[in-house]
Amino acid sequence: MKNPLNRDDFEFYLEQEVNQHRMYPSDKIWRNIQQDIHGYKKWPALTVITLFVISALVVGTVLIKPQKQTITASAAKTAAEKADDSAAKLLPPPENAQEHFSAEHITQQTIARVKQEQDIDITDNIGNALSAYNNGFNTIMPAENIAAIADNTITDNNTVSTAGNNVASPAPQAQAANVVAAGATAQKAVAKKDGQPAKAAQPGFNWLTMMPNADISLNGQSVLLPNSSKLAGKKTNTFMFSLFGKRDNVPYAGLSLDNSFTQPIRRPFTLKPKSHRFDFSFYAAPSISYRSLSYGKQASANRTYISGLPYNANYTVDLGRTIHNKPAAGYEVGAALGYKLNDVLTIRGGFQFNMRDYDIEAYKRVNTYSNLVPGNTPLGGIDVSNQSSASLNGNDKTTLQNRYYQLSAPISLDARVWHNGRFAAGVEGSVQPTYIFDKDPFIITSDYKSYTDGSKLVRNWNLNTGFATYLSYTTGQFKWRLGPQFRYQALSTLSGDYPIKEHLFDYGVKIGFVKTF
Amino acid sequence: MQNDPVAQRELYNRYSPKMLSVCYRFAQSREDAEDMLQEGFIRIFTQIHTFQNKGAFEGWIRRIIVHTCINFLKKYKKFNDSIDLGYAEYLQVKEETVPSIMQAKQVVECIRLLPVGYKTVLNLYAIEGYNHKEIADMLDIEESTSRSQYTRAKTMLEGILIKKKILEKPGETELTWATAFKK
Repeated sequence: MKNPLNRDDFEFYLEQEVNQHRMYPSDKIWRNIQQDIHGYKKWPALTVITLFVISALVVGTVLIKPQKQTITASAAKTAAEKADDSAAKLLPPPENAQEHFSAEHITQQTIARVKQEQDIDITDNIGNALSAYNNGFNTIMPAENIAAIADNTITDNNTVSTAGNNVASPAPQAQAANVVAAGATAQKAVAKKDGQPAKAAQPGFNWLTMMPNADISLNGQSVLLPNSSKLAGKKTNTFMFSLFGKRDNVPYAGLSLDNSFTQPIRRPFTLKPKSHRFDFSFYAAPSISYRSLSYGKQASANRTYISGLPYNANYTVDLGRTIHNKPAAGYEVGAALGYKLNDVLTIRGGFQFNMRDYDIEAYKRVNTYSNLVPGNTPLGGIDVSNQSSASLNGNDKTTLQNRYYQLSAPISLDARVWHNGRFAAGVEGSVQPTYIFDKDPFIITSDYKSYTDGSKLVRNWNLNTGFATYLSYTTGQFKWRLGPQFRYQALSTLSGDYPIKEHLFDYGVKIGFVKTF
Repeated sequence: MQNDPVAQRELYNRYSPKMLSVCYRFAQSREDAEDMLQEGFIRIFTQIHTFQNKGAFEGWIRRIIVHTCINFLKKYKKFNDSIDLGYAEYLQVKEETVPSIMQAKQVVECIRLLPVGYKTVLNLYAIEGYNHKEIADMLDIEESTSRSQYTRAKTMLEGILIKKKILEKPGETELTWATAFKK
């Protein structure tokens, strides 16, 4: 080093001037330094969220299995098997005359199975009717015969014409109420007569009901049924029905004839609906984050408790005018499993990741020691940098960024308030215990002149509440949702030692889907 | 300190504004200055165990930063750049409310106007306090080259400062350097 005494005035002047000059590096420099020395320490948020979403989808689709379907199918028998069905397992005859019935199952096995599994209080006289004739009357016909019957016209005084589908039929007689025009109408008539709610005809089934005392003929010929010659010319004072169609893609038909049929059908055959109790939802919500500042109890305590301190430690200012915040964009991603309590309410629980961000307008100036409250005050124990990185009043504007990463476990209640077809609307409220990590905010010092690092004052755990409304559209098992949401942080970001309370709130648009199982 | 990010952050917050100013005087641009600063602090944090508590800590940091700046300039061959003195006349000066800071910034900007070789020698000799022998060793030049470079740099800088009216010509106003920069 050169002898300082040999410096001339110009060099002295230069040194004096340049040593007053300060420049503030960008945040990127510090991050690069840290990354070089300590490695990449940022929370791999995107990776974690992706893994979480994938895991949730796997759990939701693989482990939660749909309920077993209730069985309503008849046996998928071959034509030969159908032809060999006997009346060995016949049901007892019905007690009362029934003018109309809508039973669809043909075989006794099917009847018994449906009864067991559907818990339907229905009696069927098919087998009994057949056994009455003891003709080995088959209840199952080959498909080609079905077509033959369907294509032909059964003529009689009160016959019904068929064209392979449910058709209208005149019912002039007094028992018209019992004569049905078509499958759907018949079933409704039956249902109304029995006081049961109307049911639509089962899809894929064609059936007709004939008036009593009808000649059973088919184009003047015997009905094309096994042993049909025995039916030719016979009249019946009960109803004969013919049922043909397909169940589970197995063509079958049935024919019942009973002169003493008295057993009423107590209840139409219905299927128990599948229960969709569980669902899985996934959502994302871009949002704008704001914050509100207010004085907590510590501020009052400071003013009354402290004595002998500089004046500027004992006043409070208008925070809204002193601290200039700018909202910034954030986002939310989450998944949840739901349980449907009833048609309206669903309760959900899951996991959610939030990033909240807002900016603070500040100014750069020459470093000075911030005027913090020392000693035995509530703020005295806080380890805060005594060299501010930015201040309120200075020459160069700068923007300080406060960003929080949060992981929550929201518990929500979803109420569907309206639905019409595929569209529905609802509201959802949630409570979200939240863990905050990767926090490094700027906080204002007690003299309101500087900002400093407040990471040690930030609570690790907080509580957020959320409220959202949505409009949904259903496609298959998916319900797509869109709607606004509001999220509010109930507890202050900073611990009770700090006199200023900060509450964050977000406004966002929630987009997601719900898949039912 | 080496493994304590909080302590490192404290140190960085305290010294980075001043050190960035040092780098800025050597660099061609702010980006270069920040790169120098980044490299310098990485060296500081990794070599902090070598500080022997002899002399000021800031001086130790500053020496590391200066050496980092020199190495950076050598590495990226910045010594060949030159600049027209006339550019100094077009240097924009912002209106500032704090004259002292304004003048400091202006002086720094004027130093940056010098050719790379001139301003490096000027920074090292006039501000950082190195002698010509040390400068010659650092820059791999002759000691006489260092002296001549410094003389030319000083003359050029004086001219710039006078043109910018930061300084007044001693001859015209019968002021000496001692009075010219008195505030």
